[in-house]
Amino acid sequence: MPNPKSIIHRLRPREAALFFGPLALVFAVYYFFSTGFLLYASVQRISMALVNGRWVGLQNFKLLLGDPRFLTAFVNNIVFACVSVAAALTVGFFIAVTLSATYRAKTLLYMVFLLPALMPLSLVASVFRTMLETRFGAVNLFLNDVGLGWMAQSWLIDPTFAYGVVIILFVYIIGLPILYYTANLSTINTSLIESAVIDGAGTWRLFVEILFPIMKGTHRTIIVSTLLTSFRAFDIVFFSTGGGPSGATEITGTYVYNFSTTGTNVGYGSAAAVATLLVTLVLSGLHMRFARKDEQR
Amino acid sequence: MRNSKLAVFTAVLAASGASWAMAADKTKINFWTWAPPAPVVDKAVAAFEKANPSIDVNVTFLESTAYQDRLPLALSSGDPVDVAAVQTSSMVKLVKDYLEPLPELYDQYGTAPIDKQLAPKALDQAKLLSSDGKLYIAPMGTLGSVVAYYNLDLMKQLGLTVPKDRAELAAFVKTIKAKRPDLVPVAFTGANWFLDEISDTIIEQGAPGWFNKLRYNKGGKFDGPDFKAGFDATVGLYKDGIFGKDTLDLDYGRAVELFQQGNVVMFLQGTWEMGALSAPFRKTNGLKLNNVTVSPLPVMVDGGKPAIRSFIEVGLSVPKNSKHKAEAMKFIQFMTTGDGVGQWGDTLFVVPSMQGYKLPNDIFSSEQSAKDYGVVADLLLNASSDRNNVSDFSNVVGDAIIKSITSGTPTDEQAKYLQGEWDSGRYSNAL
Repeated sequence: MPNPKSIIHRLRPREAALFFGPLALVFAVYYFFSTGFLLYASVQRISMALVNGRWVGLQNFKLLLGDPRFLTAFVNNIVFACVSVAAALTVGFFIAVTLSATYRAKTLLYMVFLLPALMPLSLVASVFRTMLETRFGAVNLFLNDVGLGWMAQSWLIDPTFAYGVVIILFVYIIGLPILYYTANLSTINTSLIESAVIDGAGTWRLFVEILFPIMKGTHRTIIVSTLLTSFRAFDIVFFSTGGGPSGATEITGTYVYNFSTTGTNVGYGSAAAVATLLVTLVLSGLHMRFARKDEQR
Repeated sequence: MRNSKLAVFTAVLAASGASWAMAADKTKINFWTWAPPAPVVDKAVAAFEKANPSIDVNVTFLESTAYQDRLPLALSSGDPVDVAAVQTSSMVKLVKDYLEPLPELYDQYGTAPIDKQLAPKALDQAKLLSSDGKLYIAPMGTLGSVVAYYNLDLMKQLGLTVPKDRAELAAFVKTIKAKRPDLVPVAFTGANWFLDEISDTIIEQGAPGWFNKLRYNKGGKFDGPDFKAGFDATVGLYKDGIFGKDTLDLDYGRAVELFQQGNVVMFLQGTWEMGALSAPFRKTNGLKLNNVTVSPLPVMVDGGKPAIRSFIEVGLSVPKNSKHKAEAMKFIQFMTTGDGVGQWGDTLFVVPSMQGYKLPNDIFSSEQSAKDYGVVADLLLNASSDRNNVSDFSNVVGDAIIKSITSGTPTDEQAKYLQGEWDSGRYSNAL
């Protein structure tokens, strides 16, 4: 007896439209309308009330591209993204493989690594900020108490250290890449690993020359999702360093936020948001292209 | 039995009918605001309703940032708003087309013309905001920055007095570091906008009126000697250890917390924190500090004078589409020049705009606090420049100060950079 079609495949176009119509309408309002309005605002000189705007064409974009702060914010986005990706592909991969082979306290260890990624990022960043205060922060107080006061630094005031703090925060939330790797590892044919071990492959060769190449699809998913996440990591930067000191750790998200909330030049902030959106669209497009190529193979 | 039941039923019907008739006689007005704090607003509204039993006030209270978005949209959508508190920034220009000019309403419904009730400087600043010279808002009061708050108990223990200038402040800090290294001599939020406030105050000490010249395009510039002197003086305070670099990572709430916990001797902020001087305010909000005073920022430039930048805050207005303008005007007068001022006046978040208003002295816990408050209030009402900030640009100036403190970027380079940014058209000064 042939397999019965699933309910989705049995729906006729009219019924499908009735089922998905409401959701599509909500999607259209919140995504297409809001994106359209963002594009509209980006070519206006317009205030927070979003009324009485004045058409300025591409002037906002010209000003944007001439602002060294925006370019610095963009570069910071790329740097933080690259660090996150590197950490995910190395540390995340290593932890996932190790945990999948570990039997004792496996659940506890998974919780330890996944918890930071599952908690609200604003909370994680705020706690880090409080701990890293120069005078009253827990880190410096501890270092002073154990006789390592010479190691106490102005973690959030010195631009170099502040940069390092943000990078550590980005690395700290590699729980999701670990999840992706763990899910992929569970689908790997274990006989492959057994054969390698029988043939004398050491741990390093197993990791680097057998497991790592097999998981190419997962690497690509992690690279793109981590890149896109870094462009949305507003809360990590805002609640830790605030984009400071003096814009040293600013990303495009905090840059847009400053113009959209503290001033009335919302049109300019919208232009910055559109520029960021275009970059993320390009990244998503690349991902879809590579994914389609792999499917065709 | 049947008759008594009927009598009870009739009595209940009559009472319901009477209360319905009373409710029908009552006028309900809608009041939108974000300040003062909600409990204070509720207290003032309750007092108004008690004094005016035929008027009910329905309050829509929103947090400041949300209010900036919601009020303009509510007015443009024709929502029923009878009294709208307007933020004294670019919001006035945004919404003025939906508001009634107030002098005419005061003439029609008020007890006296508006210029006989509110301070002239407050009204001048209100007219400035509308760009057409008309008066659309009745400001509740005036606030400003930067001022210094002192923990008098700690100062008494350490044998200190309120410093008047840079040299006295340096000695003040040195004494605290020597005798009580656990205390923070001077604390404030290290946020970029506040460093700009400090810098602007110091510039005004040496060049009164500089900010107005810059803000209103009357020749003020960053790339000039007045700004550079103030910028240098601000950065110099960190270089000489008077302000600690280790406080640059304090956010607003943390700095307030440290002061209220008694870990800080001198705390810098705007006058909107003057509630700490008010005994009723401290009691209502559970503040543990008992003895606090305030003073203008010590003079940080040679030959300078105490200065402050001030501006009106919380401007009450009547939208054109209000159907209860008479009642709305009654409420505005109550809140700005009537008994309502006594309901919120002890929060000290603004100095009331009411002409001839005097705070009851019993809200202060010492004669010194009362006297010092008077000095600051006087300075506020006679400020050398308006605190009419370009908020997005404040952040840029503050960041330039931080960069000079942490990385040693020269003042001339920063001044040139800031002038370029100011002229770029990127910020809301260009709107």
